[in-house]
Amino acid sequence: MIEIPPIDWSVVLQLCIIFGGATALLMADLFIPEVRRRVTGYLALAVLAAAAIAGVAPWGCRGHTFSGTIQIDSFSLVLNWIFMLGAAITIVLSFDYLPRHGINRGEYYVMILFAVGGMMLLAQGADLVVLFLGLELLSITLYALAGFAYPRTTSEEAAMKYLLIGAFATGFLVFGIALVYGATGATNLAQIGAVLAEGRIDGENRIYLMAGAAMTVIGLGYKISLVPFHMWTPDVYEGSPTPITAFMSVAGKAAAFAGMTRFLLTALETQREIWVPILAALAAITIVVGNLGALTQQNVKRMLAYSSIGQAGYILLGPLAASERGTEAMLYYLLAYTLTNLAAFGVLIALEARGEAAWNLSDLGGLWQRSPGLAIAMAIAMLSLAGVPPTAGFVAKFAVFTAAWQAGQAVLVFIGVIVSAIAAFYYLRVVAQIFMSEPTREVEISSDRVLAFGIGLSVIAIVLIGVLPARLLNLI
Amino acid sequence: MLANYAFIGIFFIAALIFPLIPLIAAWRLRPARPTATKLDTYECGLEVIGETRVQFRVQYYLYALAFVIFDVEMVFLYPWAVAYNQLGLYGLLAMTVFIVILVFGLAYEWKKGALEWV
Amino acid sequence: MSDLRWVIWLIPALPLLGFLVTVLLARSERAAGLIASVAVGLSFVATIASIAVMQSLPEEARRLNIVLWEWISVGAFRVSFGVLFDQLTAVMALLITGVGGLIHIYSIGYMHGDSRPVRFFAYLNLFIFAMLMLVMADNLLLLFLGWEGVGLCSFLLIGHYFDRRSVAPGIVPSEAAVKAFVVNRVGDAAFLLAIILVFSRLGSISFFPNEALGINGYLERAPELAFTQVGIGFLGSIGVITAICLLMLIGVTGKSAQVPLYTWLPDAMAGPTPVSALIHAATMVTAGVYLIVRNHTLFSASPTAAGVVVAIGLVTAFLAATAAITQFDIKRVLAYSTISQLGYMVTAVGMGAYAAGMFHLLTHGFFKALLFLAAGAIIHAVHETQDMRRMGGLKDELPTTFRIYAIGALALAGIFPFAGFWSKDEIIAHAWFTVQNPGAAVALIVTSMLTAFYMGRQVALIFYGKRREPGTPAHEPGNAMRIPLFILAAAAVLGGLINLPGVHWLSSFLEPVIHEPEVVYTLGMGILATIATLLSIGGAYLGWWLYARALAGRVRPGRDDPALRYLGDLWRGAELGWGFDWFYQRVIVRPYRNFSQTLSDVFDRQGIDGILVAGPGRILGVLAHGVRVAQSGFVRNYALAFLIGVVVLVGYFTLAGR
Repeated sequence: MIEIPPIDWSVVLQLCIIFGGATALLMADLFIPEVRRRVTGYLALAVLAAAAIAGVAPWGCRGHTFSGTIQIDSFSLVLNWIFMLGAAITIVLSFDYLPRHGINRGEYYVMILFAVGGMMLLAQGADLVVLFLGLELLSITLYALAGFAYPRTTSEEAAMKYLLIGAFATGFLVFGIALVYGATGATNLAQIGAVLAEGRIDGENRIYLMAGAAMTVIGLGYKISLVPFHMWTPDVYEGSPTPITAFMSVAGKAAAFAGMTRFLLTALETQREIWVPILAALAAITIVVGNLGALTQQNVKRMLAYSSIGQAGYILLGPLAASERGTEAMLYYLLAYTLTNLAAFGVLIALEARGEAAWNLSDLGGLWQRSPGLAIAMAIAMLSLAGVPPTAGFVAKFAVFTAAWQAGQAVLVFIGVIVSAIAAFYYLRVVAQIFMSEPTREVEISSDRVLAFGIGLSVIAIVLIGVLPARLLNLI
Repeated sequence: MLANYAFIGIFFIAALIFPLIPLIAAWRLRPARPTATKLDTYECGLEVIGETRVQFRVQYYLYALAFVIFDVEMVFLYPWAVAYNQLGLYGLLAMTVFIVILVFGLAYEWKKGALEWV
Repeated sequence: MSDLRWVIWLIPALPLLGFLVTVLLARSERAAGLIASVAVGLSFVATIASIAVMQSLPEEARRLNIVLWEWISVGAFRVSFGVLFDQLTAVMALLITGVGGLIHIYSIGYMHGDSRPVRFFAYLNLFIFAMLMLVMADNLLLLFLGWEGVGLCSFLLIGHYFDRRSVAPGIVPSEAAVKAFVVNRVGDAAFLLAIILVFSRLGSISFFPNEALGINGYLERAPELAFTQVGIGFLGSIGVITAICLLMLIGVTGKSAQVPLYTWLPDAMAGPTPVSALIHAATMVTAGVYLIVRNHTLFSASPTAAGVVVAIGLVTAFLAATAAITQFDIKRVLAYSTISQLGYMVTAVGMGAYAAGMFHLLTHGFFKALLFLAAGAIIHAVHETQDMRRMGGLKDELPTTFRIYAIGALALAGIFPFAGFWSKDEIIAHAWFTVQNPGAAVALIVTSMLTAFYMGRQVALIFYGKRREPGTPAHEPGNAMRIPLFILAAAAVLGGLINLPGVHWLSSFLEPVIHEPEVVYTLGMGILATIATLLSIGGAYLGWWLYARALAGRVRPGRDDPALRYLGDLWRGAELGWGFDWFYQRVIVRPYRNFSQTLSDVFDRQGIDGILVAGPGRILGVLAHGVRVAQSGFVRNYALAFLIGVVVLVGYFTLAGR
């Protein structure tokens, strides 16, 4: 008899709900007629809600199962909630978008669920192989979703570029994992960390290990659009269906940060003096390049893509601090950023009511006169991205800055603060456009209530967690 | 440590050389007296019209994909079948779940019309 | 009466409520104006009530701190969301709600017929709220919230007239608004760094300890660190307190429009005139002075930083005064004058004359608001003209406005017995006698002379001589505008009473906060004051005489100032604000824009191939946009960049990790 190791199902309960729900939804969708496609979306929301509730019970517990490859702790639970929140708001934002663009297909919701499952694997993974599995599941669904508006060439182009660069990055990730395994004889993060702590890796193995670590960081860095692995971001973000852009920019990024944090702080914890300087340099370059790129954009969607590159640089300050404070700050930043970006993209979705792009800065002109609600939502989102109090974006930036400062990254904080001051220019330009100019052409605005609900929810949350972050930060 | 990998390298080189030897040998040893008829694509049958590259119908790929999926299923089922009596109920359940997921996939394909030849 | 402490909360809550009600309910211009004014008026009443509550408490308890909730709490990092009410806050709150309320009432008249009145009054109320949060915050982070909030409202209000392409020649409101915000953000960035530094070195960012919550105060810890050094890389090391103060000072130069970040304020005059009066003269721009006074423990502990503060204040005061002489736009003169007067205040607080600085802040709030509002009345009267060359001879057409404006001008010029005289003289006396710095005192006196000169010039240009551009007759303002003007005029005349030498109400009221020793008056001070006043009168008369008599005939619409002939480039330089704007445009804005444009060209549109292979890469970029097929080729470039990154990262890891 072969001994089956005992399985602690409570660790993987959320994963089971998501994957089971997604599979069942795929079947259910076959029997839902297209006119009632929203039902699929509501079912997907129900699955997400069930999984979210399932995360309440294990709160505060730590555990692992499947031979220590999957773990659960408050870090992963918080991240899971962020993923599910992002996915839920994305689904809400899509209800109106899909039929207007003639892409009302049920697989959309199913793939979002599968992507969430992949993200959860990244957050809960305690093993390089699981991290890889999660990243691939996430990536493949996102390739498909990026090209989801497939008669539209821009969407196909986005998917193609994403796939090509993604495959490139995946190659490095697998190679990196193999090299790390070759050098340490382990794929489990904690075991790798233990082997490194003992310090019995030297000579050639040391080189293999380091090259492997570098390649793993590259594979994950591509997903968070770390410069110079960021080149795909503007094109893919611009071409993808707008809700998917929002989803990629928030949840996908959060998942990659989860994996990155796990790898750096668990496996490479003892090698801090090696990876901190180079990643600090890359974070600084990312902040500068992202914000510089956003400066000249007239296309708001593309501007937000560049802005998301810059924001990734700021989020990276959290893991770089390599402290509990830093991780907390990163989680808070991810939550704030998720809400903010979803609100901003939600407004863009509302402007695409006619099924065509209305992303030019001038299309936002005089939005205040035409739709005060959307105008306020966009303004608050922009202020949050710029880091103006009392929005969540400010508290987030302040949290990562203080964490990085205490970790001795004064120069990095300095660069970050200066650039964020300059970045205010292009965010404020959007606000100025909304409040201080006349509309140049008639852009139809969606009056869908669910969409408005989604945007409103995000905006209220931005302000709320900006004014009352204490409770939340304590929770994390 | 590196020496262990050397075997892979040697194996790789050997794998390259082995098919190359007969090919090179045949190329060097055979008599070459080409004529126009000999160089023609077919010595008999119809004249070739148009490009030799044709676009395959997308259904071929869908079929191929479905085939690969079931191939992988076989790869999983074989070792399970061999160790079936040692894996017990848990193994049976796990394999059932796996097959059910595959069936779902097949049902999806079927319903979406991927199996119809149009 | 201690159970009445909650009344403090009403001070900021009422304007916030006013903002919400205006936004949500007000539909007509009348309703918006009324709601907004009432909200600020009630807030003023609440301020007075709060002062009464505070004064009823025993002397040592006169610092009320009410914490609403804990804002951020991570480990040792704890920030409360609470208001602080002490004597300093009380003075600021009185000014904000008092002058703010008057300006609200004035706006009802001034903004009559505006296309977006609801928006205007809502923003105005939001501004009052943010400004009150700024002065009532009990910690630096909450202060920063107000700090950014007022900047945001300022941004929104400067752009109010966006549909008038340019209010003054060459200035587009929405651009001026963005400029104001971004220039301020540069200062704010430094301020944020200061906050982080305060926290990491002093362990808290609350001003005063809060026993109930167990939060420490950082101000009392400042002297301990007076001699601690912090390394700043290859530049050596610097005192911790000095570093904090200098970073804060950069924030102050942004918000309070000091050299070198003052350039946004003259452009901010594109906003409606009540906004200029409220935000860009009386309240928001004084936030920097408030910040220094609030943190005076830090600044006293660092003589170096205090010296830099004085230097910046003096340079600003002088340069802005010279710039004010050369302007023709009525509001630009006042804007530069505001910058110059803020320089006065900054100099004062840098020298340790905190009470005198606050005194000048108050009186300046009165008479500068008065001048702006009167200028608004003039602009209205002559049909939205701001160019003084097109005015002239309004003395007889607008007798009331003339008298009011003259009072404001005399107060600003520091002529006895108007408010400006007392506050200005206190600063000059402090420079000469208390800190024994005759150089600074002389510079201040010269600036004061220049101030008198440009006010004389302005009054002459507007009110004397003949109307240089005949048009429809001017008319006096209506009641809603007139009554606030009268009240402010009274304040500009009598404002000096609150801190008369010998009486010193303000100084003794503020004493518990700023611990300043009582000033002893000597005969020398009287002589100095007399000299300073005589010089000011001389300057004012000279300005008036030149532009009302000697050169009056040569001032024409659209022509340069006659003085340009005599002063040449010096005049031109002053007219352009000594080229700071030009410098920023050339050295920072344009290269920055070009750089990011190049960056986006290289990496975004053409790809590296475009530069390397095809010389005219731009054409390729255009082609690439048109031809979608060509786009797929660019993935190659992305991959190339990717590969470079891989080589760098793997190389670094293997080499560093060996």
